[in-house]
Parts: sequence; structure tokens; C-alpha cells
Amino acid sequence: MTERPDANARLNIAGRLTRYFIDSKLTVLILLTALLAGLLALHLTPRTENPQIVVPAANIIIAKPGATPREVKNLVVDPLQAILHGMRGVHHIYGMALDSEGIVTVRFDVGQNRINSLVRLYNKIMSNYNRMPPGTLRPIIQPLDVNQVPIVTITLSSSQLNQVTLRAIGIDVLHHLRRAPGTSRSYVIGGQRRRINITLHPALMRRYNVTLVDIQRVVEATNIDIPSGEFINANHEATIHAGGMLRSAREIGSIVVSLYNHEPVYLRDVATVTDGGGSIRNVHFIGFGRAYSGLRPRNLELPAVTLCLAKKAGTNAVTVANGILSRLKMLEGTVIPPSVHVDVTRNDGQRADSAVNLLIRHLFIAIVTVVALLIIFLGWRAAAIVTITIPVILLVTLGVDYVAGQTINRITLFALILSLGLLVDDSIVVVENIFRHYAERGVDRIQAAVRAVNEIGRPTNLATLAVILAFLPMLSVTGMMGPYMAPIPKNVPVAMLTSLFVAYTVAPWAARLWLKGHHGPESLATRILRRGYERAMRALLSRRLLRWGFLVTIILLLAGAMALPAWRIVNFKMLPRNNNNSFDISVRTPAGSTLEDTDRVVEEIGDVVRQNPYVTTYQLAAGGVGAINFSGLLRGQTLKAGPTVGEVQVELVRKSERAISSIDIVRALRPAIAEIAHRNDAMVKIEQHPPGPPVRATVMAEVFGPHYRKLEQIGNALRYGLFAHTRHLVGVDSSVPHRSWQYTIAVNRRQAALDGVTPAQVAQTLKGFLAGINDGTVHIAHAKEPVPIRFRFPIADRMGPQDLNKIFLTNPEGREIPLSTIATVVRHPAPRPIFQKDGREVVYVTAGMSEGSPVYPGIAMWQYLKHHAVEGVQLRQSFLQDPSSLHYAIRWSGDMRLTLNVFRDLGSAFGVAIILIYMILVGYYRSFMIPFIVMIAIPLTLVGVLPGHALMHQFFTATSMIGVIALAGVVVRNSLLLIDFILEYERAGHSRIEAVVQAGSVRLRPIILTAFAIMLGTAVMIVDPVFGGLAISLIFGTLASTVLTLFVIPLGYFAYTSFTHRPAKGAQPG
Amino acid sequence: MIRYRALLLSAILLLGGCTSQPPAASPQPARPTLDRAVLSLSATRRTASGNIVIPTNTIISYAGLPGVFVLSHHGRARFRLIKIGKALDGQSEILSGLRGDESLVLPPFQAVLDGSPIHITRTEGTP
Repeated sequence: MTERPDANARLNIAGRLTRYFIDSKLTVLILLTALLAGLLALHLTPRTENPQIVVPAANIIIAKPGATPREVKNLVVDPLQAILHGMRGVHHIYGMALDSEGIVTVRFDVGQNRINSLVRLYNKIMSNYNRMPPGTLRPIIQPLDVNQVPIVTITLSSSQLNQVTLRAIGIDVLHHLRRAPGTSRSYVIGGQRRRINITLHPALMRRYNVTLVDIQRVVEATNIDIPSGEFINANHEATIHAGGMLRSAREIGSIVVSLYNHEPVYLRDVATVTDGGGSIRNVHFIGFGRAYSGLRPRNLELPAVTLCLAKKAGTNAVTVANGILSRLKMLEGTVIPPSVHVDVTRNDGQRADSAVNLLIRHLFIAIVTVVALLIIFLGWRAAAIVTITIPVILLVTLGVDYVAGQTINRITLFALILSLGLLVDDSIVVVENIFRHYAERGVDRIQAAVRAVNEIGRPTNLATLAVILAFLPMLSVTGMMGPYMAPIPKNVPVAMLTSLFVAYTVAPWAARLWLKGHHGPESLATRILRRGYERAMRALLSRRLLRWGFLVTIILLLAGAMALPAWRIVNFKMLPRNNNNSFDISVRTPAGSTLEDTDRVVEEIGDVVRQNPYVTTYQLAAGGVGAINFSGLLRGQTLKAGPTVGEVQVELVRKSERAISSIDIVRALRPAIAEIAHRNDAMVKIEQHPPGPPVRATVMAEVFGPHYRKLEQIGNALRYGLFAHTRHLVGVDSSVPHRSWQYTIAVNRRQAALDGVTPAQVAQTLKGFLAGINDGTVHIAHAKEPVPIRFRFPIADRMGPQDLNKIFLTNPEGREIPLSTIATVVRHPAPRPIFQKDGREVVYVTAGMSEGSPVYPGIAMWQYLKHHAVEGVQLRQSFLQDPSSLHYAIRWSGDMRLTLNVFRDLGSAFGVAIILIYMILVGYYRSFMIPFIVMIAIPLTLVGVLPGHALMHQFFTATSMIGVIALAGVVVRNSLLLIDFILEYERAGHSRIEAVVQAGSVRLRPIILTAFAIMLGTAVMIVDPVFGGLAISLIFGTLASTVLTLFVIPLGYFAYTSFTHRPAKGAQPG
Repeated sequence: MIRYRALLLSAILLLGGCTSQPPAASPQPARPTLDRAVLSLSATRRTASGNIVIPTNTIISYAGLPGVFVLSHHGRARFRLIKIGKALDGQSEILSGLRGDESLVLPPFQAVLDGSPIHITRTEGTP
């Protein structure tokens, strides 16, 4: 190192860093370590498609048999909510009071520790359980966790094997796959569990005088096996089991249930005992679309079972999925018989990997474009220096991510692409200045470089700090959007700090080695540009009228840009839809529909889906839902079951391999599916995976009020009135169910008492007759699931109320009492569930959007309800605050509320960023006014941003807003360097006009270069449906702001100084 | 000559697109058209409670699921899940799954697949 006596005294941090590292061996080491660490991190960091959002939530299910929804609400749900009310970190409590059952869903705040929250929840419920009314059963607490969502689903299907065998194979396969490292919850959907069905024949039972209770007692008493001690003899001990476990249907059939005419009556005499599936509660099929590339089965749709495997928290989806699939390959042909068709219907590992790889490719393209730009502007030597800094900075950032426990996901990579345009700036500025110094003859290469860095150190530090400050407030975005976007404010500052360090260390080091110090002739383009700029600037500075004209033009441009949203040429939306590889269609047939009905509707939808050229496979489910996904989890999909529920999950050709986006595919399918829904009076919703955090519904109105009946009426009025007639709303639904019927068997207590029959006996007999009774399990050694013994009556004997005449009860005297003599059947409307949110009764009216943004229908409906009453009630409306429960009120929720929240949060983040930037600028310039001039550049970005969105026909989204915030940092940097040079030239003794013109002229090249770097670097993002907004903001904003700031900032400074310096010269700022 | 050019062009296109070429969709399996009689349900017998009664020999078990083959709009045999009630004299009462506007494909079913095109030889059940 060259020693100079005055070195340290006059150098700032940048200069000192450069002086130390410029000829140090350490620089090479740092370079290599950073590269290696980064590559390792790139390989090791878990990959996910989207950032993992932790939203602890749980369903608490409490049964209280026999209670009506109103009773359940009063006795179970309300006390439970009261217990949970005071809990810390609880975001919302949703209550649902059903017949005989209450379900309370607790949603914690985003980012709360999951285990901690659930333990507290469990503890709270258990320690307060004595407050629950008697007769309630033990609560089931079901945590809802992202890590429960299967990352891999494998569908096994067969046209030959029956449902029980297929499921058994599925369970067996799952058992093997579960051994793959990193898997957590796993389960099988579809097929039928093996059961021993005892179908009782009432006529035969009467003939032999046997009752269900008798049979049950005998079976129970037979199916027993007790370890009963041990024999010890001849130094050996052997254990003894007494009793006789039932092991097969045959064994059960030959149980003696009673005696008739001194002859034993076997169970098989009064009942048919079969080993099989029993009544069908749900069905699951797989169908093969036109784009299916595997070996096509000969049937269009095959009965199927789906194996679902989730991964452990913190593991890499890619490796877990690969582990599962390699195991699956080994099982084919052995555990999986050849007649079973195997399809991988979901592979999130691969999805994450290809998403990440695609973006890494984009990042690469961006780097290449920026490098090409640098070569054109700086020549290949300077370009090479800047180029080696790029991978170092990016890899260090990834390394920091790995150490901080972040995942590599799409947002991380967008953050990197975004920072690409910014991070080359520091190196460019440094190399440019070193270049300038080297051009002088006979300089010491080290000293000149140090001097060059030292010169621009302060403004570069400040500019980098400004960018960092623009991003940091984004960390405070609330709700699910916060952690979703968090990689941006986390990664960009890291990349910026690294770039600053690298610019002071690696760049001068490389410059010392490679940079040649002779100026080539100025390229023609830059000369023309510079000449043109100088001429225009001088003209503006000398003619007052022209200046005023320029000012007016700028104001008009700004006003015009601002008018675009007002004229709805640019529309707002939280996030646009994403191009996905799959989507779901959820089906709900009218109340009272059978499983077969639902299956028929689902199959009709399957027929439509199959015709689409981009569909590979689709799975149909009726009587339940298919494999759950993240947005389904938060929509409460896990609670859906019953014959009226169905779902179609559609897989498409991978998005990299198809020309058309999933949004367009859905749009094309929508009319045909809507027609099916209409024809069958079914509720069909197409659920596309949201690009960001999921919501319960895109448009959602929560109606609160004092009387639930009235709420239901208002809900229905909104559903069939306002919502149905608002444009672009599809799949309008409400939480008010359709009317359905229920039969109550009213026991005449007096008559029952006279006959010696208790109502409990009636209820028990009826349950056996209608629903069937499970009693114990058979002991089959190889069965992997328990095999229950189930008593029931043939379905043909229990079709309607008239069949109840066939039931007889036996009283203690042995007399047979027909049910019809002591009970009457009453038909009445089924009680309806009661919904609650945060302790208040609520009716939800929901809708999806066919296209466009939910903001505008929302505004239209708000306006309508402001002037019109619904069901004679004037609804009070609110967005953010809780409406009072004393009046009928509506709170708008769903995507629209999220949009408002996000724009509010981002808006305030923007505000904070501006204040922070202003503060550091005041500190830097020691002036209150100059920072204002510097920051004029920020509003000027809008001149580009809003027309840019209009030009590209894009929504102004949350990512566009992030772009605007990023722009604040970027453009301030340009104006900062401009002002800095003007001050510099003034200090050097130039006249003010000359200083202003010269500064602009000298800074023209680097400003245009960095602007191009940002624009070209982010250009790859423009095709992305989600982050396109960010790219548009950055590209157009930078363009407009760069062009305008080059004139506005010098002119603004000129105007300001002419104004303040008119009386006296002096007081130089800085 | 033109053929060579076309070949060359397609080869270039293939090379250009090979980085992201989707796996080719597999061809549809052979589902030969079958000659079968169909039974229109619009005029068949109903029980007192309005349930449809169908011949028991039209009921099949598709991998353990009870159902019938319904003739689709496209003239194909499609599996339809049903719930069977009482059976008597070769006739079965269907509790759920049929609406009465369908046509059932009649046996034999050995060669019938879910999706087999059906050439109607005869339509029964229409007056």
C-alpha cells in the first residue's frame, strides 16, 4: 500500500475503503468467498413459489347432540367465543351454529407464532371447559396450517378394482411414500373404507323375534379378547388371551343371536353379512383432458383415490417432492398393481422449482441486457468491471437470505430483478469517475482511483441511503400482504448496501487492473444528445417566457396523468390474476340434493373441462372436496362435506408450455359452466389461485344487525337483487341456505310410558334403522385402517316416513310395539345455521369477479345502498370500522377491503419514505429548500407511471405502487447528483448559468445510462401478470422522470437561487 | 422442393421451440362404436313415490360403484352413479341418480367403456 502522510485526514469512508482494498489480496478472497457462499445458498435455500405466510388458525368443533342451531349458538358458540375473546393475537373469530354442532374458527394475526398460538388456544379452551353446558362433547381442535396443504398429490385410478381394494392399495402406497424425508401429514381421499355390513331384514327379525338391541348385545359380547394372565411352567412363561375376536364376515354371520323353537338363530338368518364398502358417501374420479400426455386409459373417467402428502415446515418443497416421486417410481409394478393407473396430479415442488428457475432465467436475461448497455455506453473494459460486481452482489444477497432463514421464491427474485437496475449504479458512478481521472496524463493509478472514489463518495452514499429509505417503510404493511411482499424491502436494501461496499472495494480494484485511461472520441449519439441538451437548456435559462411555458406544460402533463384514474382509464386493483397451472371449480347443489345428483353435475362440468385443449387431467369429487390448497384452507374448504358438496380440480399444461394464460382458459370455460350451474340450480364457483394472499371471497358483504331473520331476508334481497344485477359479478352466493325439509319423530310420551317404551329407546332404534350403527371393529390382521362392524337396514326399507311403520320396539314385557302407535312424523323446514363473526350474528353475501377490479362494482353498490333501502331498511355501510350491532349495517369485506388496506399501507409507507428522504437531504444540504427541489422529481414520475398503465392496458396494482415507491428512491438519486454537480461547479467559480448547464451536460451520460439500466433491467418483468405493474411503473416512471428532471431540477435550482440570491450573494449551501 | 423447404422450416421451428416443447398429447384410445339398443326412460314405469324403475340387467358395477350407462348428447355411453332401492322381478327401483329424461344403454356390457360411441340399433320404451 502506498503511504501518504495526508491520506487519512482528507479521505471519507468511501475513500478509505477504496484505499485499503484497491491493492489488497483480501479483495480477491472476498470476491471468491462471496461467490461460493452465494452459489451454495442458491442451492441450499428452500424454494417455494410464494413467500410462506404464517396465519395460525384453528377450527374448534363441538358437538351437542339434539340441539337446534339457536341453542347451539346460545349454549356452545357464544360461551366459547366469550372464552376466546380476551386472547392475545386473535384477529377474527368466526362462529357457525349448526344442528347439533357448533364450529368456531379462530384466526390469529398474520405472523403470530403458530405453535405458541395453538398451545395458548388449547390451554384456554381446556382450562375453561367447565363453562360449557352439560351434554356437550369434547371439543375437537383442528389446526389449520399451511404445512397441512399437500404439496404432492398422486391419483390412483382403476376401472376394475373396487373402491375398497383401491383405497387399500392407496393406504399401502401412502405408507411407503410417507418414508420420504420431510413429509408430514398425509392422507387418502376417495375410495371406500372396508367395513363389515350387517344388513338387517326387519321381516325376518320379527319372525325370529330378534331386535337390533339383542343382536348388538350379542355381537358386542362376542367380539372381545382380553389378555388374561399367563401360564408359567417349566421355566417358561406364556401369555393367555381369552375370548374370541371376530375376524371375518363369515364368523360374524355364524354368531348365534337368539333361540327360536329351541333352535339357534344365526345372525345370517336375519341379516346379510357382507365384507365391503357399505353405503357410498363420496365418490372421486379422474378424467383425462385433451393435453394429457401419459398412457390414456380406455375409459373417459376412472374411479380414483388421491394420496395427499404435505411437507414439514422449513423443508425444501423441491427435494421432498422429488423424494416422494422417486419412491413412487419404485412402487409401481410391485405395491401398485399394473392395472392401477398412476398420475401425479399436483407437484408443488416442481411448480416452485420451475417458477424459481424461470425467474433466474429472467434475471440472467436482465443481466445480459444491462451488460450490453454498459458495453455500448462505457466500452467493454468498464463494462466488464461493472459486470463482475453484479453476480457478487446478487449472490451475497441470496446468502444473506439463507442465513436469515428466508426462502427463495418468486418475490425474492422479483426483488433481485428490481434491484438489478439500482445496484449497477454505484459501480457505474465509481468506474465512470475513475475513468475520468485516469484520462489525465501521468497519474498514479492507485491515488487517482482513491481520489475519484473519494470525490463521489458522499453523494453516492446519500443516494444509496435514499433508495434504502424508500423501501424500508414497506416492511410495515399489515395483513397477509405484509409477509407476502416482505422479500422486497428485505432484499433490496441488502443488495443496495452490498452494491455500495462492492463499488468501493471490488470496482476500484478491478479498475486499477483493467481500466485504460485514454478517452476515445465521444460517440456521435452522445455528442448530439449533449449538444441538444445544452442548447435547450441555454434557451430555457435565457428566455423567461419559455420557462413559464415549460412550467405550464409540466403542470398540464401532471394534471393529465392524474386525470387518468379519475376517468377510469387506469383502474385500481390489488393484484391482477395470475397465470396458473391449475384451478378449482367448487360445486354446491341445492339443499336436499343427493350424492348422485351432485355427481351428475360434477360430471357435466368434467365434460366441459375435458374438451379444453390445455387440460391434462381433472379430478371430480362429489360428497366432499378434493385435495385442499392454501386458498381453500383459508376459505374454510376443510369444513365442507355432505352430499351437496362437489369439486372439480383441473390441471393444465405447464404455463411455460402453453401460449394462453389460465385466465383466458377460465374465461373460455365460464359460459358453459354457468349454463350447467343454471340448468341444475347449483352454485358453481371457479376458484383461481390468487397471486397474493387469499381471501374468503373477492366481493363480500357482511350484514350485521339485531334480528337474524331480518338479516337473512336482507341477505337474500342483496343476493338476488343488488348483487345479481351488478356487472361483472359472478357466482353470487350467500350464507343463507335454501329451504330444505326435516322430519321430526315426535314421541307421544304418555302412550310411550303406558307401553313401557322410553323415548331414548325410540331414538336408538331409529338411528340404527336410518343411519346405521357402528359397533366395534373386526380384527383383520392386514387391514391398515380399522374395519368397523356396521348394522343397518336395507335402503329400500327406509325411503320415506311411511317406512317407519315397519319399525317395532320391544318393551320390557317382550311385547312388540309398532313405532306408529307411539310416535308421529312431522315435516318442517330444516333449521338454518347461524353465522357469527367476532361475536355478532352475520349474514355473508359473496361474489366473484368475471373480469376487472372489485373496487368499481364495490363503489357502485355502495352508491346504490347509500340511496336505496333494502327490505325496508336503510343499511349503514362501512369499510374499515366495525358497524354497530344495534342497527342493520353492512361491512364491505373481501378482496376490496384488502385492496383498500394495502393501498392505505403502501400509501403511508410512501409518505414515511418521502419524509425520511427529505430529512436526510436536509441533513446533507443543510437547507430546507434545496431538498424540495431535489424531490420535485418524485411527483414527476406520475407523468410516466399512469399513462404507462393506460398504454399497456394494465391495472394500477399493489406492485405498481411498490414501483412508485421504488421510483422515489431512484429519481432522487439523479436529481441529487445533478444538484451536487451544480454546487460543485459554482464552488469552482463558474457563473450560475454556466454551472447549471455544465452540470446537466456532464451528468447527462451517467443519468441516461442508469435510467436505461433500470428500464432494461426491469423490462423482463413486464410480461409477468403480477409484477408487470412494477415493471410498468419503473420503466415509464423512470423515462418520464429522467427526461423531465434533467430540465426541471436545474431550472428549479436556478429559479430558487435567483430568487434568494437577488439581494446579496453569499451563503453557499453545502 | 417445396416439401424440403417445409421440412426445413418445421425442423427450424422444432429446434427453436424445443426448449419449451410440451410433451405431445397422447392419442385418444380406440373406442370402437358399438351397436346397442337403448331404453328411453321418459315413458318407463314409476313407483308410487315417483321413482324410476329400470330393468336390473341394465345396472352395472363400475369398479364397485353402482350405476348405469346413460346415452350422452354426443351419442356416447357414460357412466352414471345411481342409488338402487327395491328389486323385484328383474326390475329395480332407482332412488336417486336418474331424472327420467335419459336413455339407458342396454346390455351386453362387456365391450362398453365409459365414453364408448353407441350406434343405436333400437329405442325401447317410447310409445
